[in-house]
Amino acid sequence: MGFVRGMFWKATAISIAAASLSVPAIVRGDQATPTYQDTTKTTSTLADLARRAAEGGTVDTPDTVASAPIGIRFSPSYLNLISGDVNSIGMKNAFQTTMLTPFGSTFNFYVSADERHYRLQDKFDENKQLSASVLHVFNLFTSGSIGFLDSRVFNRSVIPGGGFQDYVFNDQSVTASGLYKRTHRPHSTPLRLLRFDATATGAAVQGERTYKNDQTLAAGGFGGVSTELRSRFLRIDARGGRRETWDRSETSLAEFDGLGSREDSLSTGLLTELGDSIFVDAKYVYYDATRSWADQAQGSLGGQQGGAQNVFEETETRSARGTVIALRAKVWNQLRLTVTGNHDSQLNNYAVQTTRYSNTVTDGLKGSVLYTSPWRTVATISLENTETLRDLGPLSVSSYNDTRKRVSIGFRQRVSKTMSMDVSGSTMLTRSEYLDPVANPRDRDQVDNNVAVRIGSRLHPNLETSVSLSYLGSEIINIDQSQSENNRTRELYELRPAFIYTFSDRFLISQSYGVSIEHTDFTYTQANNFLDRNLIFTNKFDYRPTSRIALIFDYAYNFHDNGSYLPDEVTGNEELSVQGEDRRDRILLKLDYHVMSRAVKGPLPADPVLERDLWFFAEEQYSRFEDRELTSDTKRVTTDGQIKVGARGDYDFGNGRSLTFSMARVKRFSRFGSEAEKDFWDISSAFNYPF
Amino acid sequence: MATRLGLSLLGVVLAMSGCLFDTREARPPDPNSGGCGAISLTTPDDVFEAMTCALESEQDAAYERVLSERFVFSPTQEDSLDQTFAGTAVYANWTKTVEMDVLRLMLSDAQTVAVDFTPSVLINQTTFVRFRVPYQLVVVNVATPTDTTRYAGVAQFDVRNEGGNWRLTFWDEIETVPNLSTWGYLKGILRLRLNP
Repeated sequence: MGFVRGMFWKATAISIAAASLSVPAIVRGDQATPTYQDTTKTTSTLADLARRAAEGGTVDTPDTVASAPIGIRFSPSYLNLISGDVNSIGMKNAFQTTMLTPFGSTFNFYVSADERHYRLQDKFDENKQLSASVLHVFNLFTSGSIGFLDSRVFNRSVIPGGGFQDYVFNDQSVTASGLYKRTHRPHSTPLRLLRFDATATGAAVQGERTYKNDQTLAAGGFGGVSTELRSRFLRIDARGGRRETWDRSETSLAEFDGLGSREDSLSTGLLTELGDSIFVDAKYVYYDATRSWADQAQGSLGGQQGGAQNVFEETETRSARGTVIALRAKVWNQLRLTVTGNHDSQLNNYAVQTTRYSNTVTDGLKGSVLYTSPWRTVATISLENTETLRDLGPLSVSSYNDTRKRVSIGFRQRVSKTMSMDVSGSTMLTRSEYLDPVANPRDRDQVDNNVAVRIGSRLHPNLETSVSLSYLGSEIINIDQSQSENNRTRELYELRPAFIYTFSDRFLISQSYGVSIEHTDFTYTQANNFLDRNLIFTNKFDYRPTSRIALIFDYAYNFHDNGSYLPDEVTGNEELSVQGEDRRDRILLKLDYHVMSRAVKGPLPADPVLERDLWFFAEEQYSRFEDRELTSDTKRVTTDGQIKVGARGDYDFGNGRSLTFSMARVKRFSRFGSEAEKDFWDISSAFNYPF
Repeated sequence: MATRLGLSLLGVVLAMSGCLFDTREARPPDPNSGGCGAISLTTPDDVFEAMTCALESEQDAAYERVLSERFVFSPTQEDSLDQTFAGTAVYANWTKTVEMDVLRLMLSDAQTVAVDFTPSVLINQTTFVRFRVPYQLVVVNVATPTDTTRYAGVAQFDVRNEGGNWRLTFWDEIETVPNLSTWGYLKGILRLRLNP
């Protein structure tokens, strides 16, 4: 979360037109291997739309004025998305149209319906959205917009006993905004360049929630100015804004009038050159807000209590201040320095639910040096110290000071045209000191060290190699005796060589080897220590016998044993006692047949090339796991796998019309899991048709 | 000259690291504290045993062992859109570090914690298991007046074998329970306090 998360002009300045064009990523592939890059649902399009509707959005205006079109341009388009996998199957239909007029107006209309049925659970999602907006550019400097958004989110789950649990989040909003932007002033005498802009927004929102209905009127104004001096390099900018809302809520039992919010914000910045190659960059941010709304009653730790009788009026106060000063210097061509200091404070206070109070104050200092030696070694050194006070109020015993110190060093050397080496290392201490250690004895220190070396080389035109060696060490130290039983050190060593042999354009072999040793040692209990050793080997053959056929054979092997260092009964010396061994083998076979590959070119040289491709594919995965308990001399073998057969294709019809699809039947076998998980269709398609 | 300067800087850094990174002395554990000892993570089910033990004995360091370095948490859509979090992306970038900060705050303000996981296997592969986990969490807080808050929901837990140890990589909240908040909602509230 950013420091100025509540700055409404950042959060709400999202173009309705742009958002309605965005297409959510198609869920595809094996659910057993989810991607971890974007898993939080707060970033979903629907969530963003619903939140924007609730907060009252504004419409972005273009940065530059487009050349006026001749006549009226009408651009409707239809989008269909289908996705299905082991977890769910869903479809989204969307229609959008844009109309450009010669008078500088752009009309956008968007309607969509999205349904998802879950296979492994009794659940159903339905989300609908309708939006309309018009953006009018009056002249080079002035534009305005009006928008309407209707967002409907509905989830239904079947609960034990057969009843339904519904979740409703509906919003209808009307927004309006005007923008005046002066980005260039050619005849200014003392100032070489002056830029400024100002925006006014207004919104009305009707919201429907599970236990209450909300109505909101919102108005806001914000703007900014930036300038540069002629005589020497100096750039100053400032932005400020204010937004207010007037709200009311009603439940089946009560009405709440006189609700609302107020937000003020100011940010300033200064960038100047003090001397040759020394730059100072300073920023200050200020944000204040109060909000009164109809909240759901909560327990001391936040558990909501459902029902209209538990809705009450809550007032929240937020305050944030932030100062950052950075200095960048180029001492010589080979040596560059950067120093950054910051001081932030963030306060959240509540009138009723006072246990939610928090005040966070952060002071940070960071310095880094980048040095390039005459023999082309690039060295970086950075030091960082951050202290954070988290004051969680008098009703909490959790308030603490957090200190983080970090030093990191890195070297990069290109030994020859075909060989390079990277070395990096860092040490970090994290220290937490609670303000009331008697009531809350959780003081702790943690030290993390890591060192990594990587050497990459092309030994032969057809042979690429790399070797990486890394060490990771952590020490967890709880100070108090009530917590110190888990004090431990963890060390991880890894050695990973890898080779890629390119025999020809049609045949390639990739091999990687690995040795990994992890040791966890509990400080105060001698017998509590764990050693895990892994030997890893992967071998991948990529063979293309013809231009249309691709074959992949991938084999992976992993041998692992685990044990502990235990005292010998006779000598008392610690000796390794291996308790278990396991071996895993994994095979992947994949065949791709490129049935159709066309590149259709129009008659004119400027005509685009239309790609049309169709593949059939088949894939087989097999895993075997053999687990041996050495102490009891028992062995357990489990296997699993899946076969996937299907087709995928891309078809470009031209004029932006396209169809992309993938459809495969998947059959899995394993000891556990429901039948629905073992036999399913894995499908995805996107059909885009501009009229 | 440049080499000398570089070496000097390196020397300063190394010298500083020696004294700056000293840790405090810990007190040996109280044999009567009834804490949560080390649990080996050799089977996927060990994850639940270790988490329950760590939570109920309020040992955050034991909980930390269960989490993968690439741990991710995802809330239900209901929690994500809740009005309490209006204007904040409170669930964004929920990593292991965030999870541990939030857990420590929960344990610090809790007098007692009771948890009940009832996992069932959805997907079982040699190095990956996905569980469907209906859960209940009961927290008695230390603040005055003391009260008891109950949370419940259904989550999917992805557990992976990492170097021989099974660890939790993905906590995906999927269902709510009528009239009760989810654990994910509690996490959101706590993170809001840590990173307002």
